[in-house]
Amino acid sequence: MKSFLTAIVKAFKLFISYQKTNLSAGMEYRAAFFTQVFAMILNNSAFIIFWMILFDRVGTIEGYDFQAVMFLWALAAVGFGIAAVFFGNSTYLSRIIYNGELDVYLLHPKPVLPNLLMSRTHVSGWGDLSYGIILFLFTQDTSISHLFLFGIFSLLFALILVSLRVMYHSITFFMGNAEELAARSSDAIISFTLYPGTLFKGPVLLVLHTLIPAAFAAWIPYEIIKNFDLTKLLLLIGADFVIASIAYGVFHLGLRSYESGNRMGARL
Amino acid sequence: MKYLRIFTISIREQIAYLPVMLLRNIFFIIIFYIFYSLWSAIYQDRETIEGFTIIQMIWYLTFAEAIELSRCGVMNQIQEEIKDGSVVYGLARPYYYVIFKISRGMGESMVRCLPVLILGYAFAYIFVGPLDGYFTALPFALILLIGGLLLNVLWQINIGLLSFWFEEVGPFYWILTKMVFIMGGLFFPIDLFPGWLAGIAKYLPFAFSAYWPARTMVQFNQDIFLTGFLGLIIYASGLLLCSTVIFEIARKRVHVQGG
Repeated sequence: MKSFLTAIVKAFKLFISYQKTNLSAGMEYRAAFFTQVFAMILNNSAFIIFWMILFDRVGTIEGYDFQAVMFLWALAAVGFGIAAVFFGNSTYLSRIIYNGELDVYLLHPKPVLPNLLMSRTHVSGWGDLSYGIILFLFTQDTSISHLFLFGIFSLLFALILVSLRVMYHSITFFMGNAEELAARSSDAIISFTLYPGTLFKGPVLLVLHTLIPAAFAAWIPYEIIKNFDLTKLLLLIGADFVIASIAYGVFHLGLRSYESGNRMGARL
Repeated sequence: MKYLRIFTISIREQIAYLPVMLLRNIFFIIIFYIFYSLWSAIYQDRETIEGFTIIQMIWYLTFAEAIELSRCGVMNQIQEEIKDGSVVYGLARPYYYVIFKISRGMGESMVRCLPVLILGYAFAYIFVGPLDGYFTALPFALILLIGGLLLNVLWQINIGLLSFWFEEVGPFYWILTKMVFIMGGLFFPIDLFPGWLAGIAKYLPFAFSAYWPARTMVQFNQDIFLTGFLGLIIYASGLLLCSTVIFEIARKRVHVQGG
């Protein structure tokens, strides 16, 4: 138990030191940093107009109204922002694997996957993060319980998104460059989560609960926040951790077949 | 002639990476399915919305998306060339930099567009059935579609050239694309906007990258086509002039050191 806690504390310390370094690197180009953050907020805001006009024209859509869709947008923006800011390398895994750049991480006395995922940040992710929080505060119920649930769901969204990327990028270990496939699966989950879950019917729903688990990332959280159900919440957390464990397992299985590229390199 | 050659080389380059390019179209299938599901739900209890039937709406979206998803990467190329200084090689070669970039960008965009158009035709046909007057409208809509691609390339060149003054120009492009998404009628026809907003949005440059080509396809008549064509000429000329002016000002800022 003590060693488990020590591992958690060590991982947290690593996380904090990576974030400090990443943030100070981003702030090195201060003007570019704030331009990207501000532009991303504006960029995302454009979609509010789309939904406003649409709901104004057609009323509710399959049980979702403007506020419900804005919840999905806020959740996806914060979840995506967390993944981009804190686990920025999740979109580059294939490239790192097939370029033989994994060697550098294997030599570190740290757990490979978290170390790898945290070592890059996307500055624009701060824009998504800020946008999602502002959107939530302006369009949703801001009671303590809702804020708390929203925080949990945002972390879970990021967990699913990063896990999905890890899973699909890990195909590169077995079958060659899977960068496009991983990018498209990431696009897919984000795209689906931005629309009411009730729109999708038939066999596609099975895909949206398994290969592209948009249901766990956004639609079930929406149902829980609308009508709170503790059992459902615990089941959701369990399902999300199963997805994360599968991703972790697939990555480490792939790591066994990884062959060094004999590439000389250093991370400064 | 040399620009035509650059255009064809760009096409060949794209075709060389055909599997990756085709895989990219999975995103179109996802978007198509989402929009089909969304509009099917909306049309459940109505026949038309602002004169558009569900058939017209879905075909409209496939055509507008074909332009959007065919965006080339010319802005990033220009940005990189300016950042790493390799832009000076382009200045020394026997072509005009802006026209060179247009030729490359158009070659890239047109190759990307073709599979989306074919997929769009197949999916729209299967999901909602044929569009009346498709083949009559197609030649005219294709002219506006190529024009929409050209506008996009010109926007990218203008924004890319701003790299002479800004560290990161991507954010300008994000905002531009969102203007096309919303004010340009990419997600739905501008006719669904409130009257006052539709009146303005229809004549902004963004509409000529999505709304007018797609509307020509689904509600073809001579007036719609001519309005789209006239706007295209005006805005393409304006953007070309603008990029030339920016380039000429920027060229004076280039300092070559060493050999």
